[in-house]
Amino acid sequence: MGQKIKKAKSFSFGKFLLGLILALILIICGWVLFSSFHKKSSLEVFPNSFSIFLHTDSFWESVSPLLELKATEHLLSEKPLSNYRALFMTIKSSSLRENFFIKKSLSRKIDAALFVNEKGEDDFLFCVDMGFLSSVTRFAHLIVPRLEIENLFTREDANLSYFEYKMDGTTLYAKNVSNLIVASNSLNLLQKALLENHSANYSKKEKEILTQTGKDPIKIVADTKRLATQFSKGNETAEELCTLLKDNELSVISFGITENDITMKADFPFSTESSSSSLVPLLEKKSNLPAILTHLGDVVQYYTLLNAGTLEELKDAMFPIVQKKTDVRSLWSKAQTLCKTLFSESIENILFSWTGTECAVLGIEDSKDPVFVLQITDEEKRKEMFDAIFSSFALENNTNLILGGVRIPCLDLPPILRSLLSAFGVNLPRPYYFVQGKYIYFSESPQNLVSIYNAYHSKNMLSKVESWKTVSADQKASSTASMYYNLERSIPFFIKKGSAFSNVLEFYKIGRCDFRINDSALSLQLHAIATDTAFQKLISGFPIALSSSRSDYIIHEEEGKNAQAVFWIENKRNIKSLLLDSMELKEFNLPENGYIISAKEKCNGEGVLWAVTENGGVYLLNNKLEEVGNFPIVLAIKPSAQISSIKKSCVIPSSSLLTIVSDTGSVEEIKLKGNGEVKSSATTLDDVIAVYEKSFLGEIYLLKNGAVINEDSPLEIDGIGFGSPALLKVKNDLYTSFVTQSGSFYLFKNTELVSNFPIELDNIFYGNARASQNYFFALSEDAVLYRIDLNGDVLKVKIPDATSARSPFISVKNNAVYVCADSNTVYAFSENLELLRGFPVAGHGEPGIVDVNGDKKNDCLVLSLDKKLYAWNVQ
Amino acid sequence: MKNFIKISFYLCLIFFASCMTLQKDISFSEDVLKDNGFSLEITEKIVLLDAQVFEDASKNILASVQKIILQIDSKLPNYELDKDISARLLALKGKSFFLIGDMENARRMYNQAAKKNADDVELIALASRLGIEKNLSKKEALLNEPILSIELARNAYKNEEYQEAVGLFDRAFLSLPKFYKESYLKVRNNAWALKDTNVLNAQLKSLVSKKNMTTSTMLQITQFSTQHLNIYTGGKAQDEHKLYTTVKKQGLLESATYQTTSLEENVIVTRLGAARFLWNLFCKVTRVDSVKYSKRYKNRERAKSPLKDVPITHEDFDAVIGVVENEIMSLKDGVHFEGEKYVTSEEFYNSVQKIK
Repeated sequence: MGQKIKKAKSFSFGKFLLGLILALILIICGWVLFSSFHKKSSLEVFPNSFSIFLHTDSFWESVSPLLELKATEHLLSEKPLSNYRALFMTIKSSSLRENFFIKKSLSRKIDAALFVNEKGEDDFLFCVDMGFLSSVTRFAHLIVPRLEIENLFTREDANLSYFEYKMDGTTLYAKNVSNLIVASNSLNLLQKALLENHSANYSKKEKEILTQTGKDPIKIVADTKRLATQFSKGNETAEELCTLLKDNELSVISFGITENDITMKADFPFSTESSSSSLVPLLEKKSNLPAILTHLGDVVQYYTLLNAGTLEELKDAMFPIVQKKTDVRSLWSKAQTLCKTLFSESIENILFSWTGTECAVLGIEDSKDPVFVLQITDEEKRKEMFDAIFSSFALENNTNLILGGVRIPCLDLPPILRSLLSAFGVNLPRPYYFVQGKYIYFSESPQNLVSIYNAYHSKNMLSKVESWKTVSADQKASSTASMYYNLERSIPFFIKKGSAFSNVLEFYKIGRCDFRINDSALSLQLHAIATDTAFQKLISGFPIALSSSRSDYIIHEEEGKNAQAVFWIENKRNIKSLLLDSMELKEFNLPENGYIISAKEKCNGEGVLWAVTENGGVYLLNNKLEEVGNFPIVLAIKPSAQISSIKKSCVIPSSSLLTIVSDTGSVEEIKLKGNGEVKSSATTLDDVIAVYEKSFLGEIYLLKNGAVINEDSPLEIDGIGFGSPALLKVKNDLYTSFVTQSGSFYLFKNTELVSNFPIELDNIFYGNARASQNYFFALSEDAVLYRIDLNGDVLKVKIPDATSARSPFISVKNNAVYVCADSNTVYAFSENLELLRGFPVAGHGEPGIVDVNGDKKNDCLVLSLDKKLYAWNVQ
Repeated sequence: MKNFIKISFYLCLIFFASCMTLQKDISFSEDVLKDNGFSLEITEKIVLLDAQVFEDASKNILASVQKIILQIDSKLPNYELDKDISARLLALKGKSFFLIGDMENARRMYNQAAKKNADDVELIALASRLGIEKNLSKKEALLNEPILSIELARNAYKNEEYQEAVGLFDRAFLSLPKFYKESYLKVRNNAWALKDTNVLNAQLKSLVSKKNMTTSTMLQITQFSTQHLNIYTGGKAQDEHKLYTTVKKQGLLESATYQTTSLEENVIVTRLGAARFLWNLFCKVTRVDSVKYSKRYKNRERAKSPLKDVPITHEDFDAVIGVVENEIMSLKDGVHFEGEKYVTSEEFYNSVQKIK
């Protein structure tokens, strides 16, 4: 009975527990549901006085692709944005980007807006819709004060409690309001946003524009007049145009960017009513198809096309604007007098009586001379005017040139006049021209005209050119002004050198930008494409100029999977560190000449670099080149060669002594027995050290855990050689190789010489072998790279164009072999001695193979004899 | 008189107007106007001559340059209508004039070419040589044109910045036609050989540049580039003869192994002679036993020298083995010392720097 009672009790407790858990789950679900539905619209917190408004439905989907763009990397490699490069690189290379929960958490709706404050500076306000996650953020005011986050404070004033976060030079103010987190760099703006409901200030149409979802990941809405006024400063025509734009008119700017192309579209509504601007007649004309587009051949590489009105209308529209700076009317009147005197015709007759609304400037393949095109509306009148011009003594129609079977006339001075002017050093242009259909073409290069003629008659039209088709795909055919450009040949006016936008556009070489007028709105549409999808070899931000050309030309990478820095030494004592995420250059000057080596494992106090001076000063530095631990320490030794590292220790060779210094500062000395002296660095592999005592009766000693394992039977080398032995491990066997200067290649398995070795490589070697996971590699004096396997089979390849390698550099990284003969050129080969993609590159010495730009691909960082540090994209 | 002038003027006008009607058609096929590799062919010839003159300013290239100018002149009218090609050819013609020292014509060609295409890279190179383009480095960085890198490399070489010259030459060779490398290879290799002498002062430079090094020169190089002789000279620079006497007195010029003969003052130094002095100096500086190798080898069962041309019985055996094992001098093939060959001042300079 007692047992039954116990069972019933335990059963009811279990039930209670289950009920409790269920109740808790229900409460949580209820809270999450409540949080998901109890929402505030972001428009409630945005005052309507913004200049630009941005909206994205998923922050993650909008921003993540931007991280991969070369344009972003380029922007962040230059000031002022380079301060954010470190953060960018961390995010870009972080594995968390693939994490489902991170992605989900960051897939939030975000609205942001720029406001101009009383001082004329930009303030921003942004608002994150946390959705169901607001079930957590609604408790922010309770949670955040308990989290000890540096520089984050909870503040409270009469009206508002908020969080304040101080960053470098900026303070961010934030507050959570139901489902939203609202933040701004201005406390005033935050207060204004939160203390009123701004939703009522928007008209129905404005609400529609701001809230409707579009096909672009990021929607930009702007007060077009405010925006255009900012961009038009300094351009009189654009400034005049801005006066016609409607006040307080919101417009959607569509913007898209990928690695292959960039697109932008914006509408600028205007009103011509009650305006006295000279531009009004042009703006009242609806854009139509410029027929010249159907006449352009594939030889046209860029064009600027104007289809706004007749020449006379353009003159009437532009003169009042230009007159403000230049006395154009007086010039016109002088030209009028000259025309009447020379040609007995008015300038209006000469220019306007036969021309239409279309005019263009064309750039032709392989030619620097532009071609000017005018539309002819009355061919008879044109002939009449040309006859009038040529009948004067001042100009003649030289029709002597026949080029490629086409007679190309030239507007020329009579020979006597030309000779006279030439004698005085005046060389006037001689435009050639020809008429084709309804257009007349002028150029100083007759070949350009023949090219246009031939392309047109062989029906090789621009409309068939792939790049033009791509950039025109979304463009309507009608336009008032159109620019098709190729940045290799022409730079359109809107790409102002130095602006962030122009820096981005530089990656998209071919583009088309059209201006259209339709329904009292001026539309701008841009589509540009990146032509060279093949990789750019030199990484943005490089080369970096070095202060000295004296270096040992070895780049030491910070050990570990993701190297954060690389190191090198200049003038034998100036240690340099390049922090890869921020591109910050650090320097540490040794008091005397010395050697450096990266630690194989991260040491105490984040120490990653060993440095030893020529008189025994030992330093352990972090990647910012700050001293760590108890270092420096002074030892009574003089290094006789480059130092090396093993685990958390540094190995210093000196005469016939090896000194091992650990990161704790403990020192161990190992005396070697042999005949010679150590003249090269010790080679290390895992816990093994191999060291060569140089002598014609040379010996290699192997050390394990600080003890010589072959003290009484060192590996004997008959003949002398340069450099250090190479080590390779296969299963539990240790292979040691050494090549003498005269080409005898020794291979030892553990402590025994492998049968058939030494083999003769029949060459001379000024360096020694290096090992990959399977082979040994050696570079001979005549720049032949040898691969030797454990059976003694030899494969070799000549380094292209190299004649000698008396100061050879050879290194093996990730099973690729990097070699530099006596030149400023680095080659890389696979284990099978195939030249790797991206090589050769300019540089000298031993490169560092690290990911410089966070694209998870290794790049090649190398010093150069012409005092530069290059970073080459090689994968 | 006034009427006469008027009449003459009108007559001239009528004459020239009538001349116009006498003009004939000029017909070109399009192919004639194409470069078809002509400017590259001319460039190759000029680059070769340019490199030859750069190596040896006294080389007579007048006839070859005149031939090139004639070749350019014969084709120039064809390209008159193409500004880019004619600008390139005029720039090359200007470079040709520059090579034979005709600056006036070089400048004239520059002016003509600049009117046609001021951005032509050969024209910028010519402008730099004529002193018109002052900031070639900036232009090279901006345009990334290897032809300008060659110009910079030449300038660096002239300024005795040999290491930088090698860097620029090699970088340019990576993207230029092969003939550039073939033409400038000797200059580039010379720069490579001299790249470590960049840091020398004028006195040392003149010593190191001497082709045949005598014992006195060897001692002077040591005196001015190291502090090793200070213990004998008190750090005071001594003239050639005095230094020779001082050093000789210390036995640094005698064989370490047998101390038979001493190096004479004005003889050209062989590798053996250099090895002897360097070994003696090394032993003094590092307090090493100067006959340790002869002792060691003689004590072996089958006493045999590791070098085929320096037997154990050789008077400089210790010196040779010592300088090789201590990486002060190197062997050419790993088994022969080639002791009778002369050593250059530059080789000796590099060796003596290794004694520490």
